[in-house]
Amino acid sequence: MRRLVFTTALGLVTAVLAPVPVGPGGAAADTAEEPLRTAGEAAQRTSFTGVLQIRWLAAGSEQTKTLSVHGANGSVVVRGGGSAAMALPTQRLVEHGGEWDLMWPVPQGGAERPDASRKYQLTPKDGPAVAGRATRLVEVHHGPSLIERLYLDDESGLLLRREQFERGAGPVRSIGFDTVTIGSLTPPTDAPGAVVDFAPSPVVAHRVPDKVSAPGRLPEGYERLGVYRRSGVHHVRYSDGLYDLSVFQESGRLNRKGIPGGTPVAIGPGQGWHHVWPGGHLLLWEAKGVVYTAVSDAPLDQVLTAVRALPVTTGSSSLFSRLRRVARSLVQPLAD
Amino acid sequence: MSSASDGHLGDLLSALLDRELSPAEEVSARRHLETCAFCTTELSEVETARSWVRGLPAVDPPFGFLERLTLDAGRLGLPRSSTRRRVGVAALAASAAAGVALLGLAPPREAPVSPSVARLVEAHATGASAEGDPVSRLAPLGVPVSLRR
Repeated sequence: MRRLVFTTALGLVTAVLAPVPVGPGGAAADTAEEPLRTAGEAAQRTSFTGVLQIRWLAAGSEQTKTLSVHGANGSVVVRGGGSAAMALPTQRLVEHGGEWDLMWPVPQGGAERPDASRKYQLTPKDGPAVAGRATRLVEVHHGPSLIERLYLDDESGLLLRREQFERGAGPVRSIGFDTVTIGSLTPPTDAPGAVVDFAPSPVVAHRVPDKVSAPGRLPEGYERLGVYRRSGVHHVRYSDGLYDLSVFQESGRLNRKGIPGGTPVAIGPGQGWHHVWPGGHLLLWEAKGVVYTAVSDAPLDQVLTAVRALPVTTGSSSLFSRLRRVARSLVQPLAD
Repeated sequence: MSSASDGHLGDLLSALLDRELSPAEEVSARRHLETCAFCTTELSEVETARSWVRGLPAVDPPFGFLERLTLDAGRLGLPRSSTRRRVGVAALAASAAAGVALLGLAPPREAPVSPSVARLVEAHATGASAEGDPVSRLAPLGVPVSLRR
């Protein structure tokens, strides 16, 4: 029902085709989170194929990459760089060396995302043609700052181009179709017959280990969606309704060998490192025997503010501590 | 150099870490790693696994362990009156004590961790795509993750 209201409101707003600023508290404020949701739904129900151009700034220069994307019957496959990722109605998969890894089941069983309209303002406008198709442009502001431009296909609602801004006039990151064909197409592929189950185990809130730092809320409006465990690494997922923030935590001391570069940043009691990946920012740091890796598509200042507020926990319940306890329990009977 | 049949380094990664490859093989392997995100991730994971095994901790001797050891020596039939046996047990206990103390008193070492950043990025992006727009969320995964400033 809520989704229907959002969609209807967005339709009404965009039907006017006038630059209508929509702020918090306005009748259409609830639509702030809707463009990506609408685009996601359109990607699930629309058949399309095309060539994507992804651009991002790294090391002071623009990087580009061309990818192919194909969607039909609720499945989306993105290929490029010798790898592939797939969104199926019930799974998210990544290909490695010919094998598909199941990364997440859908749904994930976490909490609902917060309402993005509490934080962001949406402004619909007429958009330019993208890949030869008419678009509706939706600008997303955080306070006075423009942070996103979303170009939605006028006819299908499919997201044709996404630009993200942080500082300066130009986008720091963009993903958009160079060419796209929308219409009846065959599914991109069948679901892989055999997959490697790499899906995480959910950790219920009251059983989160003491050593894992997972407050329910972080600054900048980030709320915890869930805590998961995979291959000895705890994964705490947050969202502010528009962006996601993942905080990965593992016991040990940080060894940056094999992770070159990075800009020093202050996080917690020590120094951390900031890296850029094609979809956003990555921060690495260590505190009290725990190595933290934060990954997000949000602007860097938001990510830094959020992760700096993470309480530092002790690593006393580390695997090694547990091993010590197990070893003690094995020897203890000899002393009794 | 024999590489794995699927074109990736496979077991050669362990040999690379153990410095068991010839110079020419090592050059070839490192050249492959420069362009293969899969093998780079695999190398990182193998290295992490090795470091964890090497970082296994020592065990503190529980209170009373050594005392119980000498008592048990007596229960096993060693005559307490035998000075030579007592000296032997004491020497054994002393050796055990020294060994255990050395291990037990050594400060616990935290294992070095080199996060598998490519896998973590995948976990993040695929998780986000489950509730957002799958095209723009998944697209960055089409680019091998090579971190830059």
